Amino acid sequence: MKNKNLIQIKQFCIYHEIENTFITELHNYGLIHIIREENEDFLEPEQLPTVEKMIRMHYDLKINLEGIDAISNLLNKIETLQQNLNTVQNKLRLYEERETE
Amino acid sequence: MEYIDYYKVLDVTKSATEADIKKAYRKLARKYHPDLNPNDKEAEKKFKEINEANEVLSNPQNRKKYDKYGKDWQHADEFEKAGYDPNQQQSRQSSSQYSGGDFSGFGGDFSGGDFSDFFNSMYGGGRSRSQSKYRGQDFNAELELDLAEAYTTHKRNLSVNGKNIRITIPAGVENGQVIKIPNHGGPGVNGGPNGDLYITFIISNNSDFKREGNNLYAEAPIDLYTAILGGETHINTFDGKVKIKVPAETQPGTKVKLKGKGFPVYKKENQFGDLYITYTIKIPTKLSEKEKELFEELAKLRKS
Repeated sequence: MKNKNLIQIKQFCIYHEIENTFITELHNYGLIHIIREENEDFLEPEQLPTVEKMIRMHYDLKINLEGIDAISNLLNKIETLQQNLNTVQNKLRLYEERETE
Repeated sequence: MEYIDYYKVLDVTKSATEADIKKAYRKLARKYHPDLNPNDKEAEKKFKEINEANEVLSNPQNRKKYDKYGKDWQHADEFEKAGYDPNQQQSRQSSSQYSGGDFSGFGGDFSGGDFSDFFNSMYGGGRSRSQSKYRGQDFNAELELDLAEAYTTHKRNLSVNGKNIRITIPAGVENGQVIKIPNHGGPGVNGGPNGDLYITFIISNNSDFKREGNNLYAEAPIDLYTAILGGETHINTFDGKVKIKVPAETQPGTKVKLKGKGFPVYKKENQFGDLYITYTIKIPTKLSEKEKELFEELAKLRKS
């Protein structure tokens, strides 16, 4: 293994008690990126919170992959909107401060 | 301690079947699950409530006890004194109830400590859960800074859930910005990894500068004579005074941009926004007779 920090998918699946095919499917849907090295599949550690979130959606909430795909897009959109809202609120604060002076 | 109507929480009737309860729980869980409601404390609270309700109502023995003692839960203690062992009983029931992997529990983010006092008084403060390893709960915290503190990169000691951590706050952090401190959230369950700590910055501004992103805005008063005849003036920037030239016949409200004198750009060393100065003109007061005469002369010249 070239990069010691990569997470072996086989081990990850044993740890979470899920099937390897679920991770492969997430990859096939373009939701995560699997790294293949020396005939072994790996995940980058940065992806773990995202993958674990998708595991919870699928196994706990019974959401299928199409649903996870749609939800992921919407969550990304919410994050962008929240950032924009924050910027706008900060701008508004600026004008409100000007008005009260 | 408040009585909690778990049937109401799950929006089911008292005669609901196990299937009805499961269905109602799943529907509400999909609505309020924290993964689907990021940064929504209300949803998180609601999710904990429905989890607690489900924990009781989906377990036939717990439900029986709740139905019997629910409205008068104080009697539950007497019941336990008479030999009831909630932990033992619950563990056995849970393993049969949740067999077949149909329900793995929404562990992960939620520990027994999230359950209400009411639940703890009824069921001994514990609940069983799947033995799966879960990532610990993510913690959210707020940190207040003033604008001057946000201007420089500095280290800060924080106390999070009894643990002291030292974090570096990069210059240029925005009001409302959230930074993630990996691994400093709640401990993992059954050997799972720790959650993350999310810090939201609340930045107060008591300075004479207004901040918009990386740019700063301020007013600078100049005297009438400098405005008319031109000259130099000293401007306060966030990190000291600078001398700038004022052109003749400068009007009130004229804006000047001082490049690179704004706020530091977040995580970009030695990069700064701009400072926008708006001139105000100070009109002289308490004029002497001689000054009045001269102004009148000036006024006549302007009118003629």
